[in-house]
Amino acid sequence: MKKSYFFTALKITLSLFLVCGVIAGAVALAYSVTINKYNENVANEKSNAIAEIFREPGAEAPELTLGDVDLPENSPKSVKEVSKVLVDEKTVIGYAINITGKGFGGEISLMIGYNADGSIRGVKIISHAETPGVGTKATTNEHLSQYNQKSGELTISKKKGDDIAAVSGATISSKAIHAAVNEANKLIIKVINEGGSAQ
Amino acid sequence: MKKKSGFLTQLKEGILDNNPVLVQLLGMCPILALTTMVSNAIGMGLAATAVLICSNVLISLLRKFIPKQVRIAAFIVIISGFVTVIEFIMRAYVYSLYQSLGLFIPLIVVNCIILARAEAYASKNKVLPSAVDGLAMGLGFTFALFIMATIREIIGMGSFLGIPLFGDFYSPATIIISPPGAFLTLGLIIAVVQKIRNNAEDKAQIAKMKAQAMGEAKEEKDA
Repeated sequence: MKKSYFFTALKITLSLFLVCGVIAGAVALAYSVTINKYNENVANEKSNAIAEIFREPGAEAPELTLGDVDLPENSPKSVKEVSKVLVDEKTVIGYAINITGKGFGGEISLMIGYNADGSIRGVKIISHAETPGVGTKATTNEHLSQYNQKSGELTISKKKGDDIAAVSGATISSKAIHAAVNEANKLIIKVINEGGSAQ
Repeated sequence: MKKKSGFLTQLKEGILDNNPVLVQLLGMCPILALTTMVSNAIGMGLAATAVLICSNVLISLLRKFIPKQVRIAAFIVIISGFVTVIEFIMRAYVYSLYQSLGLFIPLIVVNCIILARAEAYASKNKVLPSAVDGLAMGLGFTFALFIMATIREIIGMGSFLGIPLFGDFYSPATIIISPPGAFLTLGLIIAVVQKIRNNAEDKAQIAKMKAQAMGEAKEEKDA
């Protein structure tokens, strides 16, 4: 009696184990087949955003190369990546910071391009999960272009006189983007001061 | 069950008579959250359909192998395996769709339609009918998502599949694409579907009663 119970339990465990093993194998296979393509997609998206930021109006997207920059010490966790933007593989024309902000619907991933002097060249949204038609108003180029050419600690509100006009109805989204940009503005000063270290 | 008519009845069952969303009221989470844009709704529906077909086939194949005591655990492992594979494929080949669906792809695992079909159908039937059942239920789910997203996108954003339908003079009723709007729209759609189903049922009943009455009258005459 006891023995048969033991064998039933063993049989159940083994068959579940087998199912799990086979599925895990299949998932691992699918992962190894698709991972390169996925990384390519992510990298493409980021470099497209950078190219878009550094494009002269009306001109074709320029040939840019990106150089890695070490993150300054004590950088906040929201900073994902800092790169130098080079033309002809030697002249540094600016920097790009990939940073995330906490939006209404989750993480907002931003690409912020800087001129060599540390002023903002342009801000692009890479991904977000804001409410369509509401929070997405803060992700339009019209709103984001307010940041262009600005630097340092910026203020935001719906009143006049502040650096950035918040979007009514999308307060949380625009503030999330704003906080991320300010964070990156602090960071870029450090990056430029440390300048040579990464070259 | 006859072969060809069986296929069509199953399909009709899944899409209309026993629609997983509009009649069985399953899979409420994606139907409420992902129907703000038609493109997202179709993407979600097709991803779920693919998972449903694959998991139904595999579960049906393994129905004699999986001990009944751990069947739910085994089903969930199989379903989540397929969902993960589909997620990998989507982020490699349809990256923009993957981004707009975001968190909802892994959440297909807990979509109760899939577990419900595994438990109620695939674990008791042969492979081919199970595959057809997965297809039918998946299309039913997609159909419901599509209808709801069409209504919400047109009213709430003034566009269809991202193409603006009206000029600038139309200011979209954003409540419809916000969460309360999802409940409102879903409630109204289900009410309409119930009305249609009730009418059909009433008609069938009346026809039956008429036939009975005629039969009785005939019997009386004969007597």
